[in-house]
Amino acid sequence: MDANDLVGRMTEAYGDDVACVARSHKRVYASLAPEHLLAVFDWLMEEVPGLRFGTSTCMDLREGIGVFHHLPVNGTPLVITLKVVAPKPDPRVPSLTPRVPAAGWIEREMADMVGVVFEGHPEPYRLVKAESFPDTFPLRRDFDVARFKEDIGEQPDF
Amino acid sequence: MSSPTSSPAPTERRVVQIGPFHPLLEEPVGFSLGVEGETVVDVDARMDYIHKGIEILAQQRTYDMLPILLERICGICSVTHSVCFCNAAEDLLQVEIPPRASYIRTIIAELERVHSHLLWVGLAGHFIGYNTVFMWAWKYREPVCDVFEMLTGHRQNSALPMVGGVRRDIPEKYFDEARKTLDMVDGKVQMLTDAVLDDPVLAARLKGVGVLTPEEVMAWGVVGPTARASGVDTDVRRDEPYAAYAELDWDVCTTPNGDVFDKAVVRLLELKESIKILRQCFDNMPSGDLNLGTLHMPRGEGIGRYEAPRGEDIHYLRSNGTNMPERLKVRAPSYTNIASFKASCIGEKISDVTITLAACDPCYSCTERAAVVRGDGDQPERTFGDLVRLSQAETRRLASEMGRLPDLQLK
Amino acid sequence: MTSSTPLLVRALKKSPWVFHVGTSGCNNCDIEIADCLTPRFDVERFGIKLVGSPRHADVMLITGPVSQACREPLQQAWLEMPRPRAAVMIGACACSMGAYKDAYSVAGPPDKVLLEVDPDAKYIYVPGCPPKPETIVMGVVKLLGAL
Repeated sequence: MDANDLVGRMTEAYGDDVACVARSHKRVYASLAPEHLLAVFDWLMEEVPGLRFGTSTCMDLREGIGVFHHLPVNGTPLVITLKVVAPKPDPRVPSLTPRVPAAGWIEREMADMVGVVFEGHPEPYRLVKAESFPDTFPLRRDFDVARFKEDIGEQPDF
Repeated sequence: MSSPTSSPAPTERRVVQIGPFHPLLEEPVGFSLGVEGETVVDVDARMDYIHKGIEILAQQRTYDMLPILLERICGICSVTHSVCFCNAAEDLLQVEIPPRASYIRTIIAELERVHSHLLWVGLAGHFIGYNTVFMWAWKYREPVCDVFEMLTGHRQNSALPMVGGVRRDIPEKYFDEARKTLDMVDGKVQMLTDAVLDDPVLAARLKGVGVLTPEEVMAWGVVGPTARASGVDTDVRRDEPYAAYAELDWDVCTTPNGDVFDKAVVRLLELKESIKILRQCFDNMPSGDLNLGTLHMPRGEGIGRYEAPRGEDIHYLRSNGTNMPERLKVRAPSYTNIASFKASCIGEKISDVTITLAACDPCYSCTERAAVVRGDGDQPERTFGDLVRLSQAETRRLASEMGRLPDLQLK
Repeated sequence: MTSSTPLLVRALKKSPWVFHVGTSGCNNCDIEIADCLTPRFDVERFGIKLVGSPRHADVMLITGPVSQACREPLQQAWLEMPRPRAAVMIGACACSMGAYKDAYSVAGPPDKVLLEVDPDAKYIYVPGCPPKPETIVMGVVKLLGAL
């Protein structure tokens, strides 16, 4: 499927709810609100043959916590990125895991790294942080390595 | 293989710990298998032994230093991560690299695929008790590493890729020597392939074990040879050609069944394709510039994809216009392949688990690159060796039932 | 090493059994260690044997910086080894943390972690990223010479 073609169809189906742009013939970026994520994801799974869940990126942005789902399409160079920004004090994003199990680990990792809550995740436990890890989020911008090492009782220099 | 109903009485559920240290897993990793009798009913991985926090280190390195750091994500995929990052940066910049640079990248990428697949063949042979295969495959991996060293100066970490091309040239005076080595390895790969396809014990041991259906492949996002063994036709080298793959003549190998046997066959066939690609690169090496010089990285974002020996690698790069990235996300192929153990291991016999786990060529360093953490004090048990022994005993049992020697007959 | 008799040390030098611990390295050094066992280098002809348990081992081969999660398992494995015992730090990370010096999840280089539980620990460094198998074999031989 062509990138511009997909952008046209997405804009037709969702109008202003999804800000969709084709950066090149193989990269499509779509920004949307968290409440539209599941509907748009379901629509893409139905409309685009060969679509699979690639991975997600989490980022601490000025306006909130960004969660970007990267969805490559088998057999084509196309990668669709769904960008969701959850406002900061209590960031919440609906989980894709009930729909596609491949999202399970990466959502748990993102919850560990930036503290996003994935609503509806079947296994909402820590993946990369052990139980004794202090309740800080290493990918948040206010995370300070030196202070963290001091907190857990490490020598700052060896 | 065995279904829960075939075990005598409903037995108590126990948990078997695998790892973290084992002489042949090489890397610390913790798996917990929930077992009832001989049958695995649950599998869970512990993902914090190798975490070093490379994604955060990457935010403190300049674009010129990054390929060098990213080579250290994983020893066996060192070309993978550095070239994948360069693909992401070049997607952000929307530039094409010079032809000689793309051929050099293809050569180091395919040499890496050859030695990585040979390494897997050896380890898989060991796990099912065919130690001759382990020794032979690793013996023929050595000349490939030598070629890598002749061309780049190092056995694995070449430090060649940079944003916009490659850092140094590779000496053409060694191409003849490299061709000779490839001819030798080609013959040995053919021998291994014939031996694997002809061996009735291997077929009995591996066919129908750890099956992934195409539906499971799509649902778990499985990539690379593990997906191609289930008949899912996906290969980034063809889907989104980077480096010089679009100009070369080669095929994507797929097999229909999705069991461990097919995963081995796919890798052996891919070895032949990689050698074919390498021969073409040595013959058609273009001349010209090596890189685009110093590039200014504007604000923006880019996604790089790369077909690693284990499958599709994705890097997401976001730049804020400074000389360091604002965010670099690394998704190694093993991340999704290991998660699919939930689909492939459950319902298997415990003696089949080792080879099923090994069949996707798991690379834990890649997978656990980003996290962290503090030991939670649980006592690791070292029982993976017992599992390997169980697995080898199963092969010996099959071999003696069939009246054959308990090792592969190599000609 | 004080508790070991000269006879034990001599016996160790004849056929050192090694146990390999990868403490969150990038697995490149680990592969080079496995390479030492395969036909080209074949350290078993010198009596060097890779064993599966620290209780059977004389020499521990350590690769990689020690992550927080690996710290206690490493110390435990070291204490399980019978005396006389020695360690080889293989690779830049195990010697000096290498590229991971600033990482937040790393507890320290393995020598520091071992010294926490055993101030008498004997070890040598084999630098390189990764060191070639020849270098690793030479490192073990030099260690035995120094005992």
